[in-house]
Amino acid sequence: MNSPSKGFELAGVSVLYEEHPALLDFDLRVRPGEALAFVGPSGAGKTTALGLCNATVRPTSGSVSLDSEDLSEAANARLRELRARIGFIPQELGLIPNLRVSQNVLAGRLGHQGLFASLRPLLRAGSAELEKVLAILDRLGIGEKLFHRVDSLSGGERQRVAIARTLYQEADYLIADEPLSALDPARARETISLLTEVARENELGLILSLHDIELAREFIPRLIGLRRGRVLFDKPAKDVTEDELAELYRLEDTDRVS
Amino acid sequence: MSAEAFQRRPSSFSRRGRLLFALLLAALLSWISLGLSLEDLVPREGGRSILALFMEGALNPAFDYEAASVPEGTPPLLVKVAGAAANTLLFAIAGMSLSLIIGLVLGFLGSTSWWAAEGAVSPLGRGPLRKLMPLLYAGVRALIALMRSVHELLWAILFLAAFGLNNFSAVIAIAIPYGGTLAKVFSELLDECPRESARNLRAIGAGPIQVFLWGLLPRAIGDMSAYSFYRFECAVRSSAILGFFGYPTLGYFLRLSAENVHYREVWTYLYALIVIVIVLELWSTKLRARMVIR
Repeated sequence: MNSPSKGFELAGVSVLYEEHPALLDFDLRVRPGEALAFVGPSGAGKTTALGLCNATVRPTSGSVSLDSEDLSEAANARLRELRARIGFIPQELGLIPNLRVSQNVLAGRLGHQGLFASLRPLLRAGSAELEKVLAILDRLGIGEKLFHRVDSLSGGERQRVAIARTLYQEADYLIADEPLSALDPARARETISLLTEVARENELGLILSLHDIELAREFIPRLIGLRRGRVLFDKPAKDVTEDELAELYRLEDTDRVS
Repeated sequence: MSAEAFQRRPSSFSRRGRLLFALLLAALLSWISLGLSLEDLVPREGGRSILALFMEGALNPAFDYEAASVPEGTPPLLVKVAGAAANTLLFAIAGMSLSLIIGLVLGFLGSTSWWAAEGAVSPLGRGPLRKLMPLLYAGVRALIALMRSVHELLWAILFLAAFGLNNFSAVIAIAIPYGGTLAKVFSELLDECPRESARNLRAIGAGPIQVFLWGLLPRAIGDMSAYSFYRFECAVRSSAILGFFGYPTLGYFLRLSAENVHYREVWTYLYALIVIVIVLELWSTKLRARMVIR
């Protein structure tokens, strides 16, 4: 899984949404297997930064590359291959509520499969595939939910289904947008701990956006403070000072625009 | 600042009021120009006895032929009704299965959700061909409009003239307008269903058709099948009416009995149609309950 790769490189990236800057002159390097989190107030550009990494957001200027390959120049088929290497858990999880847990997890490998190969798991999955899914669900503690419909699960269980899908995807990176936003404090701690642990076990690069600065400092080794589309700091979590955090979250009248 | 916001209060009332007024005016004008009056619904002298006879038949449907004698070898009336009902269903099923395929394919191509979204990978790729997407979309929408703007009876007249009275003429006469209607409704249901699963699958490398099959279709399938059931019910009625052109469905026999003023037989055929529709309704309710609630 870990070929001699160089990871993500974003150089001089700016993203404008109809003249409104979401990110300005942004530089970032992510090494394989590294764990980092974007922190900062709403509207700072965290989600945009994540979107650049799986090419769902296109840079207005600058370049985004994975293992020295420019994402915005990749052709259709190649882009799919690259995206298949990058797991993604959006804020709302992106699960298919009226399908079973097994089908949702099996969907993780769609990017690796041709159209016809991907029809079978939707209609009738093979036992080998299901056993693999079950092993992952067991590891996450929700094995008994294998054939339950996702809309019958609790929020925490759904979160685990989303993580299971990324593990089944056998991705090299996991991008998660605000994975703790809808959880109570105890469950938030449990989830971030699970995420980092699973990432370490599977040698997944972990790229998160987090609003809970305390949990971010405790669990994520590298923090990138974003404010109004600019990098305020990019350093090991233990070196982030209180002054920097105060600056990061300082309220200004214009900041209330999300 | 807030006073300014108040100034920008939308003037919705006047616009809504004008629209409502225009609709009322249109309704009124149509009634006046058609000269509709409730007196038209009072039956004339001769009509009254026919109406009475017809309503009597409703309470007293025929179980055997009303004619004093029928030709040798004629099957019993109820066998004939059952056969006509079966034929009606057959034409409806054949037409509907074809129109479902048309509806799914054109509904997929005619929905915007799989190509207009940010970061989407369209079937025409991300290169210069992508610029043709709006053109493909507009073409499909125009085709859908064309198919459904002509009624199945008019299609039937066309195909009967072209191909003669063969069964396929009837089946495609149903399949074309129904396929168009299904495509329109399917595409709208697909566009309305939440897209976050689709977006997510796209972000992890799924192709456009995979996104459609895994991310969009499962979310819309409940509404789509409910609507398909309703259309199937309509197809049964259309199939019955195609009997007027000579196909052996309920309409054919219904017309013969009506021409012979055998209203009790007419009602037997009508009741057969009603039973089919009710059974379909019960079946679809049961299926939908299983799909939605859980």
